[in-house]
Amino acid sequence: MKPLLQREFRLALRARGRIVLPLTFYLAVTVMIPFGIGPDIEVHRLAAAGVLWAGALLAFLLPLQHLFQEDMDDGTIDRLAASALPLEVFAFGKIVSSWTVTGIPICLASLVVGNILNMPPGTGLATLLTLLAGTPALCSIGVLGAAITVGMAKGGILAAVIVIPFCVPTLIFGASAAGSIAAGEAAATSIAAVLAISLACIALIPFASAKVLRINLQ
Amino acid sequence: MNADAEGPQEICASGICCHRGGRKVFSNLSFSLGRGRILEVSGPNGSGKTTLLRALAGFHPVTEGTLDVPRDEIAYLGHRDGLKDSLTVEENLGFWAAIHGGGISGALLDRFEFRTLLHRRASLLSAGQRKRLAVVSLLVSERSIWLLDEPLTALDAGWARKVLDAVKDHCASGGLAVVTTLAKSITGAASTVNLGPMPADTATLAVKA
Repeated sequence: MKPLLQREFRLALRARGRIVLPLTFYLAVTVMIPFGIGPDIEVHRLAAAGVLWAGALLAFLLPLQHLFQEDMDDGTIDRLAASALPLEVFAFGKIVSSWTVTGIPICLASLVVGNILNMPPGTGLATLLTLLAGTPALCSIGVLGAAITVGMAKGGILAAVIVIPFCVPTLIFGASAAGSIAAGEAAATSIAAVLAISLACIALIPFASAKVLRINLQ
Repeated sequence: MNADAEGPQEICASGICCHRGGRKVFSNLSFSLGRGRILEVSGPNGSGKTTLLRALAGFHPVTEGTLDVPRDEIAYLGHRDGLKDSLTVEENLGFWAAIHGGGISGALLDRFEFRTLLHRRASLLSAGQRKRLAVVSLLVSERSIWLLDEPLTALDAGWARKVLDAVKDHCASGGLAVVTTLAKSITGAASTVNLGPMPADTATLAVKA
């Protein structure tokens, strides 16, 4: 597990686009929406949590194309599949590394964008917490989508189409938790639901992804 | 096709058949292999050498017959070598050593002349150097069964011999290797599986083992 993560982080640092691209996309999407919906600050405040969440979902789709494709093309997956390291651990490592490389910068950037959207600082922090709780689920579902489409031409786009519907529950609970906090209402149920989805995804998706990768090796 | 009868057999194939994309690649193939042996798989392009190797590695299902391979002993090295362009030689080797639970020894680096190249990125290596690196990344593993898909491509005669020597050393110390080759008998192995007739002038391409 440790060598896997070390390698993923090294690769991300060498090809910095992996970190910068989703982040730039996230900033672009979330900052552009207020221009589209007009100058009403009150509307911005109401829409902010939803904008931050939907933007995060879209930004997570960007790296899907490369998630497993490079490892498949250069033979890494072949060699790993024959090695002592279970592909389940490899898939889990992908979830951890892609969340660290894509998820953490996006979560942190949400504080800045929240500020631009006139979120009160307290609400911005609350939204950050819901994102931290929910993005592991988005990331895991993305890993499964990437595993299913690895080896297909234009697999990244197909992965995005497959992944989006399965991300909807996380998006609904996450954005509603953030919205409830912003309105000063109780949000415990929504946050618990988001956390539950994330934990279930982290626990189950490595097995599903490994199974799918083995099928794609044939 | 001939098989070794002596000693316990690690790899046993009886009457195996593989399909790929709905087409039968080979059928009714039987062989067995014990420790200390090299199995050489030869045949022209498209005869199913890689498919057989991938079946041995467990990537590809066998549609008929039975195939017994101790899967927790194998290390696979295909045409696609699992090396990352943007990582250095040392980082690539370190990764595969860690995955296979082995270590990088100075002697190994000297033998394959990588000591001075340790900090060079894999993308800057020549095709031959890269192939050597792939072989070394297999040598750092502690796996006993090596599955090698044309390990000599891009290597000059001198390096091809050194790589073959490494494979033979591995087998002499109780290991086992399955090697595919376009050329006839590169390893001088006693066990061979021939998947098809070779073009007449193939022998001239062979590297003498």
